[in-house]
Amino acid sequence: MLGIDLMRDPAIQAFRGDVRRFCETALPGDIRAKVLAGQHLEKQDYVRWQKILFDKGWIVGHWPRQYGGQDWTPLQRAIFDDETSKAGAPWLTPFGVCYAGPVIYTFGSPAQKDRFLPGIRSTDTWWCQGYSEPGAGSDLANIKTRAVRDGDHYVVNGQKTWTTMAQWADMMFTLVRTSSDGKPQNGISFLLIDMNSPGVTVRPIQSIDKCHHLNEVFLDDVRVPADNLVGEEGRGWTYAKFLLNNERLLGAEVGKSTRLLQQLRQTLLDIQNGGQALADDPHWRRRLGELRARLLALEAVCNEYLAAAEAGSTPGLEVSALKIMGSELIQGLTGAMVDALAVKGLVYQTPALDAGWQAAPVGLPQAPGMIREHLHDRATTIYGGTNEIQRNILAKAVLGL
Amino acid sequence: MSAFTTEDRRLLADSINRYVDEAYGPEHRAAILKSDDGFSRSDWATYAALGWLGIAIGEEQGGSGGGLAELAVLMRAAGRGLLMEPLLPTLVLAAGALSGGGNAQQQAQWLPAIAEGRAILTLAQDDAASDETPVIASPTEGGYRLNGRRGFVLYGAAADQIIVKVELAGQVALFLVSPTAPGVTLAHASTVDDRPVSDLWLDDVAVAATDRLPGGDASLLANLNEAAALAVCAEAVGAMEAANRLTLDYLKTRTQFGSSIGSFQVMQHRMVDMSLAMQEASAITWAAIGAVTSGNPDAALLTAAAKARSSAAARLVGEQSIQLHGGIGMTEEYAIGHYYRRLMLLETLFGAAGWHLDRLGGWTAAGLDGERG
Repeated sequence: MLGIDLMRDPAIQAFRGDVRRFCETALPGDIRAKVLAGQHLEKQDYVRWQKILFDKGWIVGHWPRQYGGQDWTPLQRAIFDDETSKAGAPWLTPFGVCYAGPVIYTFGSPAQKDRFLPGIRSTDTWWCQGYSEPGAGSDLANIKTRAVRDGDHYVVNGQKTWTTMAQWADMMFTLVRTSSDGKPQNGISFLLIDMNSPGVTVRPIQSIDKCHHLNEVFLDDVRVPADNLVGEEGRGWTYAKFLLNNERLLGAEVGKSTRLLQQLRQTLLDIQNGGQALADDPHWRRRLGELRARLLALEAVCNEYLAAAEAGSTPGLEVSALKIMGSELIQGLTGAMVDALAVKGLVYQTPALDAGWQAAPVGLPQAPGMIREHLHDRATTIYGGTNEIQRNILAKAVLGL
Repeated sequence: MSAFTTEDRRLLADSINRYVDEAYGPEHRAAILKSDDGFSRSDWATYAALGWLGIAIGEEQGGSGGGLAELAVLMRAAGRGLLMEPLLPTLVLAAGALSGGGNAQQQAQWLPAIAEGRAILTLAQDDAASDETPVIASPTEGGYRLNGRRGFVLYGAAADQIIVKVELAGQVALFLVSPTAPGVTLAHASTVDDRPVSDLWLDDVAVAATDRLPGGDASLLANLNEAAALAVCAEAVGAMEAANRLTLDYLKTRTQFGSSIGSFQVMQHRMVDMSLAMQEASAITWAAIGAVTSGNPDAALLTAAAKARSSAAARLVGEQSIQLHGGIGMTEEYAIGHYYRRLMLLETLFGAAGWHLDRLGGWTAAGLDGERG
């Protein structure tokens, strides 16, 4: 079935309607307002929304039923992601429910499943991802953080970086080097580290949006119980790749782009220049048209992959296309917003990013949120494998170059 | 509802692609380019015999009852093989106009003839997206007189009948006009991709009331032009697939500085971008075709997006195919330049990217909102 027809399948439309209605009633208005205004979210905002989803049984809808999920297909999961994003729900922080959870229920021991999965489902445990290091960004296999076995513990030494939301985290799933023999990929293990362990130091990194979501994590003689090793020693790279495979179909972030496009359209209607709205300017009309066409096309590409997944095929490396197209569209949208704001987009009044801020705005009240989004989203072509790496993957794996 | 299943369409695509590979090679095509007609009447007869010309013509008229989705399969293969025959004007435009707007007598006279390969028809409307020099129809006793000019009449030299868009009392109307009727003058030339094209002058051309397509109004023409835009997208997708394939092969075989040029990252990333552009154009084109054929309210929106993205992709793939080939890509002997010129034509026909983007950017423009509001 064609993706476009699949989307109109009554069962699929009913599911979409369920998610949409749920968001309308269950998404707290204050959280939604912060998201739509581009304001800071506190840990409690994320936790509150994720617990609402947990109570509904949807927080891990894509997990198998035996682990508390709903056995959603990739298509259902995409629709859930799409509708929650459009509704102005917070980013569903993926580190527990999308990353650590599936690796643990797929490769972990029964004891690890019992110990970690409940906290992931309920968001009582906050997770972060310890992958990148100062010397291992695109070349992730070059990680140097070492874990040395000492009795029934590993002693971990090294440094992780770009660790999103580590300042809130209880646990970190980490790629560590347990061997230097053979190919670099073969000596990597997947270790779960308690962030409260002695020797763990989290240091904030302020990003260009003036916000703090990134961190450095220093690991000095951290003693980690050997029970926290997932699967086999030396197989961490395989588990990490498995994890990425799970996520690739969502790489396009169609829901987010849909929301940004609506926001851009509203901005063009709101901003007057020379007595007419920007939306009536032929230049802006065409630029908006182009972004809209790109979004529709991206949706069509996604729908093809989702239809294929629905028919039973497993997405391969060709899905890197979604990351490239999706991230470049997001940057096209936020770039257009900043251009539309023009000189008003140069006033970055960061206190306005805090909910409840009462002082008089300088410039346009909606500008700070858009600027924050624009600055933050320069990262979309960097995180999760830069777009240059994605193009390398496609050249090699799909084109055979 | 189309009489074709997904499996039928796959078999159709296989059979056309096989024909292109086996019977429509570079030498065959070179001979056609040198011929007076500029296309092959013997291939046209073969297409008829294989049932392709009647693919979107009703079964009661000797066709097989398909629609836009089946035409798109044909057009994609036409792009892939750079076919020179008048598929777009005859099957998509003229047969579409007759099927949707003709009376029983007109349909009975022309649709079986098209399906059997006995008649070539075309449509004269300038371009869907361009400003027009109208042809004016003035009533006379028992008929009309037509006066005016139409540009860009594809395959005008070969047409047995030309369906002309005219202005009649301020409204759009369509008339069947014989190219040999007194007062009709055609000036012939070639398109940039070597296909026959004509300008048409009508000087007091007498037509009967029965030559008018009763359902040939502005809304029919708009639907026809949407379908044609998608047929052009499908042809462009086929041409891009072929151009990308040729270019990729070249990157793997051409050696410079002691390595295949495809080992250079700058070439790899360019090739990936060409491949992504093609993939995107293909996905949105098929989504739009699906929407049109299933009556999805987003059909107009998706069609505009499909033509806009296909046109942008055609530009990128066409230009970069030549660039990555280097000097050899500039030669008339090598195929890539022919793909480039075909893509140039398809990019602009039935609305270049900008025209469709303006429609999309208007947002509240009638018919483009669909379910999205």
